[in-house]
Amino acid sequence: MVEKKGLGRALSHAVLLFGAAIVLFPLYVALVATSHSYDVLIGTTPLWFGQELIKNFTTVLTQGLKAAGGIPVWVMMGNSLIMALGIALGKIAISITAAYAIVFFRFRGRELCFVLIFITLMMPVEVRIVPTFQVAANLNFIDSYAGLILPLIASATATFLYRQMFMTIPQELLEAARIDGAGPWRFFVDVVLPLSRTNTAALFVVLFIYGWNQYLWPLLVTNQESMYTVVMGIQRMVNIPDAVPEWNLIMAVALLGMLPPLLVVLGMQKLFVRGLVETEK
Amino acid sequence: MANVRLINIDKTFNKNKVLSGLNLEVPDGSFMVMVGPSGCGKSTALRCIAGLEEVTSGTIMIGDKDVTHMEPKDRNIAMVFQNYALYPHMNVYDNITYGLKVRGIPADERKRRALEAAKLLGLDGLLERMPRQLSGGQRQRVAMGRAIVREPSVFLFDEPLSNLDANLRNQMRIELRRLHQRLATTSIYVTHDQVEAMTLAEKILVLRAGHIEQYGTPDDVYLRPASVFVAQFMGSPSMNIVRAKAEGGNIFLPDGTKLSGVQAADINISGRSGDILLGLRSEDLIFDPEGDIHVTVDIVEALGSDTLAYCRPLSANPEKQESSSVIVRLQGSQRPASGDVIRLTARKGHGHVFDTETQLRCL
Amino acid sequence: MQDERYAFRGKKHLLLPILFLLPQLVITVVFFFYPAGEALLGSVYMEDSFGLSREFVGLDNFVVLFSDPSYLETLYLTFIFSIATITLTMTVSLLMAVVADQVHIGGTLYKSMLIIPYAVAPPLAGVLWLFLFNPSVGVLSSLLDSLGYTWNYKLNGNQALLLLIISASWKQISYNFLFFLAGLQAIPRSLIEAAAIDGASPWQRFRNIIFPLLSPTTFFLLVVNTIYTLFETFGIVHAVTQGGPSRATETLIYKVFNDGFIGLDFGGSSAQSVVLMFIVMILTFLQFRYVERKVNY
Repeated sequence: MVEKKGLGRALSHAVLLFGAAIVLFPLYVALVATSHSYDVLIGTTPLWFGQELIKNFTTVLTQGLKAAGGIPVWVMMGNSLIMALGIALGKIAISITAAYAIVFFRFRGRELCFVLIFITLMMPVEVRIVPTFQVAANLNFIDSYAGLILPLIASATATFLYRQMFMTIPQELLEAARIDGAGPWRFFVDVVLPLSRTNTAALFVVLFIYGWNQYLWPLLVTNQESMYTVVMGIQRMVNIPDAVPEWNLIMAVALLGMLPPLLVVLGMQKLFVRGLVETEK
Repeated sequence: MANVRLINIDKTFNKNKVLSGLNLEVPDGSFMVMVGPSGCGKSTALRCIAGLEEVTSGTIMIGDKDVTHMEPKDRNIAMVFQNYALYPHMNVYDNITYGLKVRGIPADERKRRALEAAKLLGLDGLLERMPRQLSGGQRQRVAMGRAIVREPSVFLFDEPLSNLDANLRNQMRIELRRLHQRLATTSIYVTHDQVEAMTLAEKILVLRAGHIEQYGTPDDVYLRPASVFVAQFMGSPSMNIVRAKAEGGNIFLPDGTKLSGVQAADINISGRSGDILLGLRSEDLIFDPEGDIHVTVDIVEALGSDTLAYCRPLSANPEKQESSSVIVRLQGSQRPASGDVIRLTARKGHGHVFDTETQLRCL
Repeated sequence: MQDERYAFRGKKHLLLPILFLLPQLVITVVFFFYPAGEALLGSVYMEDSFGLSREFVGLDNFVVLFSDPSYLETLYLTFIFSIATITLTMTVSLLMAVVADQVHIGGTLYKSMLIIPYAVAPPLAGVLWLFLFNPSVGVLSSLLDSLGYTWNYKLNGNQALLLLIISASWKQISYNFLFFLAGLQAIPRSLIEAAAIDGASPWQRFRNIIFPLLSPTTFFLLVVNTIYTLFETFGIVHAVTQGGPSRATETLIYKVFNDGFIGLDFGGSSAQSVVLMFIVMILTFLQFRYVERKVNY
């Protein structure tokens, strides 16, 4: 091994501690700010905790910010959860089936379907935002969960991942299943779905975070405050015309808004890293 | 139980004729081995019987059912694959019984059959294991168990032993024979290994480039090969084939040596004269100080039980040895040195004569 | 042997694949091809101010776009923003990954901490940093004040841009760190040990062996980061500066949004969308070319 000794090792830890500090500092300050009442923050935010932590979290969860419409944050978080689950599960459902059709069937037009789907690879919703919004508006999707979810669930990436994975399934397995008497549906349910379980779980983690963290699309497709998602709703609290933002409460919302994805990332770290690295490669 | 008949089977892949005009019958309860070099069409033939490939033309009969256009599952066959094709996410029990489950066979019946098969194959303690926890030999057995529980009328084997190491292969070969003796189910077995073919088969089908070269018992194929190809493919080392001349009931080597051991009369070509191809197996050339064939020893391989000597005729140009080299099987104790000149006799009655043009056996 | 995978074929196996492909295809057509087509069409038409009629104008919208000094400023600004963000985030995360790859004790803990920003949505990252640099309550702004540096991103365009760059880089560290780390861990130890035996110093080992072997990862990240800075940072810009002060932080994607939804200039916004699609296509193409070359090694 190329080992590091004494000073070198100490330096390595110093660099990593510095990195960790950069990452954690904004979160720490946000948490501290949440623990104070509004007037304490003016001038400069203190660097140690106050007494109001629970109270501020409770306030935003149940009442929201009065200046920004007063929608309780738990409503927004509920919307975020529905959107994130809808996007993650929707993407997985339509991708796994599409990939199955492309890999395990031969029919005319298969190549065309393949091209049609994969041409959308890497094309984020942001670039075609205006016409997509018009489509959603024509479909009466404004202020609906369908509007939050459906336009975002077409995913060449997930289809591609499943396709790659399916192609590593030995073809004898399909042959054996056919001789055992399984048709395409049974093969899908009994063999392909169980074999993709780990990949699906990893993908789900990544897609859940992707869904939860959507911003521009919810911004466009929701007008009613009761349909706001938490990630998108926070900008209304920061940019209140003619009012001083209530930073202690805003930071509480920010922390709540990142909590679910954070729990997922840290709680399912292995799965998450795997999902991330494999979806992109 | 059923016999299998192929009638005028043709199979074409992208204009490549892989099988042409295949006609054969596998008798009920027999063990038939299809053998041939890679690309000869043996796997394709098996897959056509299984229904994994559609034949281009012709008819496949299993028993008295025409199965040519049936799905694999309706043909009442079971297949064992080269890489076992076990479902990696199912344990041994589920692997074995999956085919029964799909067919709607009740759970207690599935269990009965699975336990019976497990006992037969020595898988008793392994039913809860996952495939990845099994050794190669055990996986092979599970694959067979999966075929057995189905109680099909035909077993199909696609090179099932080729992923095993040599020892295990020998052992599994014997188990396969025992199994066949017990179950007596019609079996069709594909291999490129002629030892497997000889030891397992009741009937051997030698395929070459999509057509039948010979179809017969192992003895037929070994003792009376129908062509130079079969003669050289079956048996190790390969049969020696030399150019010779038949004249007046005698056989002469190109250098004029008259063979005393092999007489035309012994091998039924008395009436024939002119150029022929003479086939002599390595064990049919005997070390004999009085022998009429003189050869120079090139390379000696001592195998323990016997010794293989790669020789060339004295008259041959040593630079071009490969064209006319002859392999001789000597007793293990006989160890000529490279460069020695030795004398050989062809064993009486053991020559094979082939036509120089058609390469077919002369009767 | 067969030249194709074994698969379900023929008429009797037609219904299931159609049903299985349909959802993906419908969504792709309705929410991708149709809008993309509309954007392409829209980019060659000019609508009258009431949106009642439109007239084919060819490439006029693009000519107008590229001769508009404010669009060129936006292009330039986006370029600066992207380069700065990519450089900052990649440098920091490469350093962290190289060091984390060598640490035995506490490696998992550092890793857990460094992946936290991945979970934070870009606008939330923006709000966190906005709070630190807020002129009236911010911890860092008051620190700068006490050092005698006047900080007010609401008035100073460069400071606003810097704030965006910091937020955007912070958010993207995790992603880059994880990929760099995976790339580093894929390098065979024996290579590095061989170099050490050959007498290469740690820096030489990094420069001559590790960094070149990491280049596929680096390239991949370069493309992903470019897409990130071009599009996904919209949330940061919108939540933090709203393109201000006086358009000093109006990036390409923000301008599409602003012109399309606030300014309601559909033709101009479409032309901008088409330019963005074109950029993404080039990036995708580059990515595939590179992936192919990697495979052909």
